[in-house]
Amino acid sequence: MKREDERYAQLIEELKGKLPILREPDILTEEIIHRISSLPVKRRTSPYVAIISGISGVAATLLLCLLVSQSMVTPLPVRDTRIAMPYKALIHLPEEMSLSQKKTLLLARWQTQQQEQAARREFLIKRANEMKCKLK
Amino acid sequence: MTNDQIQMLIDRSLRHDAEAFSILVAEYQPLVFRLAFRLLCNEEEAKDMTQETFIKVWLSLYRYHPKFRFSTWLYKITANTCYDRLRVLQHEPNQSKNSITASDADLTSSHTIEEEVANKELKELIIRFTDELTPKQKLVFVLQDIEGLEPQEISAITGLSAAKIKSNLYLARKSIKKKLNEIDPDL
Repeated sequence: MKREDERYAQLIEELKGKLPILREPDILTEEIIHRISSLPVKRRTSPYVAIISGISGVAATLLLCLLVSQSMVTPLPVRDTRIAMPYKALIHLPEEMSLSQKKTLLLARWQTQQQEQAARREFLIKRANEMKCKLK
Repeated sequence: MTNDQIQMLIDRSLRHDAEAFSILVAEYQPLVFRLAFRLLCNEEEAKDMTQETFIKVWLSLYRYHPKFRFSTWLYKITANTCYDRLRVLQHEPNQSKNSITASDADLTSSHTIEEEVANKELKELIIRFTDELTPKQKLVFVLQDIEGLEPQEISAITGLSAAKIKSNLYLARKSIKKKLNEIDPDL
C-alpha cells in the first residue's frame, strides 16, 4: 500500500513537472482580441435600475391581478340590474284609473326612480373612489 | 503582476480598452491553456477553450468581484467551459478520438519536434491514467492533485461541496492507482 502511494506521488510529480507548451501564444492573443473587438458592446446595468425595474414589474403584475379580480370575481349588486324596471311599468297604466290616480301613481314612481338613480350614482362614485385609492 | 495592477487592467478593460485586456490575456493565457490541456488532453481543443474562456471573461468582466482572486474567477470560467466540453466529448467518443488525431497531424507540420513530443507525451500520460474518470472526477483530480489548489478554492471553482470533492477525489485516485497496478503489477 505504501509503495502504491509512493508510485502515485511519483506520477503526480511527473504530471506537475510536465507543463503543456503553448506554441505561438501571441497569435492566440491576437485571435482573442480580434474576436472580442467584433463583439457587440455590453454595458453594465446599474443595480438601482435593476431594483426599480423589478419593483415596477411586481407592482404592475399585482395591479393587473387586482383589476382582473375586480372585473371577473366581484358581482354587481342585484338592485342595480333592476333599475330599468319602473320604465317598463310606466308604459302599462290601467285604463280604468282616473287622471288624478294616474298622476299620483306616476309621481310616486318618478320619485322612486329618482331615489334609485341617486343611489346608483352614489354607488358608482363610491366604487370609482375605491378604485382610485387602490391605484394610488 | 500585483493585485492593484490586475485591478487597474480590469477597470480599463471595463471601459472597453482592448489593449489592457490583451495584457490580461497574455498574463493569464498560460494558466488557462494549462488547465484546458490537462483536462482535454488535446492542444487544439485547449486553444479553442482558451479563446472561449477569454471571450466569456470579456463579456462578464463586470460581474467580477475584487474580493475573489482574479485567478480563482478565471479558473472557474475555464473549468466550467472545459467541463461542458468534456461532457460533450464523453457522449461522442468517436468524435473525440478523431479530433485528437487531426490535432496530432497538424502538430508535425508546423512546430518544432521537441515541443510536439513533450505535448504528445504529456497527453498520452494523462490519457493513460485518467481515461476512465468521469468529467467531475477528472476536474477535481486535476485541480487538487495537479494544479495544487486548496479544497476551499476548488469548492468556489466547481460549486461542489467539500464532501463531494472528497468523494470524487477518492474515486479518481482509486482508479489511477488501479491503473498503476495494472501497468506495473510487481508493486
